[in-house]
Amino acid sequence: MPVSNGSWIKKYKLLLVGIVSLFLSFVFLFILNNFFLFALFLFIFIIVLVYNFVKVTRSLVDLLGTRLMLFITVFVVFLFFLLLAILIDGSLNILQKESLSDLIFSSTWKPFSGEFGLFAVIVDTMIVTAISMIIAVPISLLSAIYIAEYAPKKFRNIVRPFIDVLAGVPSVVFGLCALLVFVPVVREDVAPFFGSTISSGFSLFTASLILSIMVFPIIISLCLESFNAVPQALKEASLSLGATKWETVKKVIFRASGPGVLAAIFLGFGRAFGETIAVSMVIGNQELIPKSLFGPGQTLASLIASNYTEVSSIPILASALIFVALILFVVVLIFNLLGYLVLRRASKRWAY
Amino acid sequence: MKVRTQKKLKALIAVLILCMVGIASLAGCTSQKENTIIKVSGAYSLYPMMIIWVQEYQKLHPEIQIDVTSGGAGKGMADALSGSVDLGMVSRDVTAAEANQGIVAVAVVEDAVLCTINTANPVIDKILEKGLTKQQLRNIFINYSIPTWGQLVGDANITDAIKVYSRSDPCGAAEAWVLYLGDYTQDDIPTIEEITKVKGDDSMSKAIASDHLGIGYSNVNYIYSNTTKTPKEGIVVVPLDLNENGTIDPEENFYANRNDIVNAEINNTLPSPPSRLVYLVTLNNFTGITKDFVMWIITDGQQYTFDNGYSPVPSDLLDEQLRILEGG
Amino acid sequence: MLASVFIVMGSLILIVTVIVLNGAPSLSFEILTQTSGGGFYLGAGGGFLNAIVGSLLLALPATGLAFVIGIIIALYLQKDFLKPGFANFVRLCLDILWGVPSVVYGVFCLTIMIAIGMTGGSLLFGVIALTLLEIPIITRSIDESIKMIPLGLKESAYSLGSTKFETAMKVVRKQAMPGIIAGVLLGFGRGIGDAASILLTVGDSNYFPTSLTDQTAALPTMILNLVSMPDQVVQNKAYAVAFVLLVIVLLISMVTRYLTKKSSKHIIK
Repeated sequence: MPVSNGSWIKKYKLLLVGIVSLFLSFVFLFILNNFFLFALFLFIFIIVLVYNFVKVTRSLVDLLGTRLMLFITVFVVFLFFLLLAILIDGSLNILQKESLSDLIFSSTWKPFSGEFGLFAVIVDTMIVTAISMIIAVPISLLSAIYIAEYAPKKFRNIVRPFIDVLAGVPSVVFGLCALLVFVPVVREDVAPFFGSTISSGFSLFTASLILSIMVFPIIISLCLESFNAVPQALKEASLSLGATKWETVKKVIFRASGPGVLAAIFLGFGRAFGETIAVSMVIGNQELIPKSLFGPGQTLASLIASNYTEVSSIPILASALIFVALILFVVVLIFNLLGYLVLRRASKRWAY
Repeated sequence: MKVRTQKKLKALIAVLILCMVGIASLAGCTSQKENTIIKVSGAYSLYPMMIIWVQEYQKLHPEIQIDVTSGGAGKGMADALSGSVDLGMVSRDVTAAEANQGIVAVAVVEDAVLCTINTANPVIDKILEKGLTKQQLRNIFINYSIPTWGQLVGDANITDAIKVYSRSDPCGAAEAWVLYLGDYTQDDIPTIEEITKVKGDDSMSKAIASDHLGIGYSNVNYIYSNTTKTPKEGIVVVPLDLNENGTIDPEENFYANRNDIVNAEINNTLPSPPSRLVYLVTLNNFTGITKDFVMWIITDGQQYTFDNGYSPVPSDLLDEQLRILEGG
Repeated sequence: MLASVFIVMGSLILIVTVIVLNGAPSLSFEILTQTSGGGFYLGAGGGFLNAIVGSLLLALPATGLAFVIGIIIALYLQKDFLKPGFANFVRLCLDILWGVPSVVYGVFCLTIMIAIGMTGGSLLFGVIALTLLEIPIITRSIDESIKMIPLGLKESAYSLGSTKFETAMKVVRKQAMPGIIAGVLLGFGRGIGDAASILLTVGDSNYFPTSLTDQTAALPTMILNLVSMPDQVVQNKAYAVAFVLLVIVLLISMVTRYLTKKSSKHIIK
């Protein structure tokens, strides 16, 4: 059968690639002892072989491609459940040794003596998260409104980059700044102002401060997206009916972007709740509930960072820390689920 | 998108993929790692000494690469247990559980933990004159039963509170200090708000230096400046009233200069604890270049200890260390 | 209200100023091109090149892997492939994974490391932890930008006979390019700066990692190490490292803006 010159050379080239790959793979296996590259080139060889013998049609590519995409998606969902499963499995050890109520309601955390009470840490976590949200939410909302509605365009263009950069700053850098700036300020100025003279600066308050700064960009950028999504027509309609700008903001924009704002707050909460490094650098690392905000404490996340080095010496500590991670995961899970359900309902109620 | 930008992007992606393949290929390397790397990690208190040893040893053996990182005694022990380092620097005794897992320890220097207060302490003269006994220190750190400096020295006029500092991270310094006070562990220092727990030896020095009512404890090398050999600015060492006679005798007074402390460790005028041995640990046994290195450390390496604020391994323990090293 | 904006901007300015003022004096050619062996932590010479290289070797493969997985999933989440119900379930899972604190990924990897006996830390598990961290970020970013593609574009492709897979690969992907790039850069920035996940998984080293099972230094962990050293001079070097991290973040931010602006000119609206 007459075969045109072009396709003969092509077939020849491909076979050549295949043979070279096979050869290279053996070189890597036996001479250079590199298993991975051996596998890689063997794989290439097999692909070439398959390509030669299987009719590769567009519909085959579509089928394989779609199947692959499905596989990867299912794989990632599987990873989610795997994460949960491994955390649960790792916690079993300590759940067997200590009762759940002991773990959660006892305040004594002394790993070397076998005591793993998390109550103080849980309370501290709630306090720190609550305060940072109390500080961050109003400031972020007001900023977002200002940027979206009141700011002149030039100002807006200057502020947006600020927010983006703030969002990207790594938590260690925040921690470092807090260490240098906030700790002394709290120790020398803020705490005495509120009547506490023995604060070392390493306190729940300091942690809340730096957390709120970390949360600003999250809430602001999500709120901005929601505000910008409110159709201009709606705003104009409100203004044309005689409402002032602030009334428009309060009654129209907030209502219309309500779900988005809620989502922003939830996300900010998640960040404040789970932040590890910055908090552990300024919170004082003591597993107790301080008498004032200016005393030291420990959050669930910073507890893990402070104790992970001893897991090899105290095997059950590993299980305890995995349990703490499980708590973090479950709380975030519940919050996200709640957020999702609330948002669905709110979207329906606030739909426009 | 413009074709040129697209092409650039494609090129960039291709380069990235090549990089990843390159890195991944490193994984496949099952070739024998040339046995010329010793990995060490662990206690901050031994870190400066180890660096000196590494520098000197590499002058003699330039083909050997020694990778030393810090991370604390806890990390050193953890790394040794997992086999990811050849030597762990550990500034506390090996626990039974760790020994059961196969940890073997060789003492390589002697170090000390001392009690520190601020130079502007209200009762500093009395303390320097009389020192503090074990019982008094126990009441401060473990029982937290002495609220003011006045009560400590018997002067009712002074009502400034005693601000106790301790370590929040599990560390050898705390272990050694509480061991001196009695049969305690670090957990026995109460977790109460009034006792400020700081992270790391340096935070302790800083805290004492900045709090005129503070009292704490630190490794020798974090108290004394490496250049002047005297205590760092703002810090004074509390003399220990070892013979409990209510005053500091001349032979108990060796805190002005780091060299005096080291000599006290050598002569045993400073008891153990608070002076303590610092160990290099490994899993199962010392072999190969690791063993040679440790052997050098406890023999020739000992000459460098004094100038760096440590005292050498006591001579009566040396034979035992050699025996442990040989795997006996 | 204006005051709140100034508070927010002020905090960024504060952070940048503090880092720059404290970090710039310690920066030098030497510190950026040498590794940390032999005395860097004690005030002698040396630098943190091993941390820079380590961070890159962690973040680049992680971002690459997360990108490949992310774009595939994001494309698959379109209505063309998946029923909206299941797609929203997947999105919910991804949102939860996004909200999970990075320390949980570190603990997850640590658990596996303990199980196989490799508790010292390795490049491999650092990459795994970072990949897990970045997948939700990149996927959701790309997903958001794909959502904005006009339906008409895809319908035209289908009407010309293109298969679902082809449309996804050739049409959708190119249209969503600015969003994809932004998402990838966002993921990369997170990967290079995040400390909690690699704190537990990569250990430390003074040299460059030579295999996936080696421990490695990284920029965030190096900051933590330097801050705990006794010498004030050494601690200041932590600010130099933070400075480098800030510069990287700034660069990413600028590049994202530039690319988004440039390529959105050529998108069909």
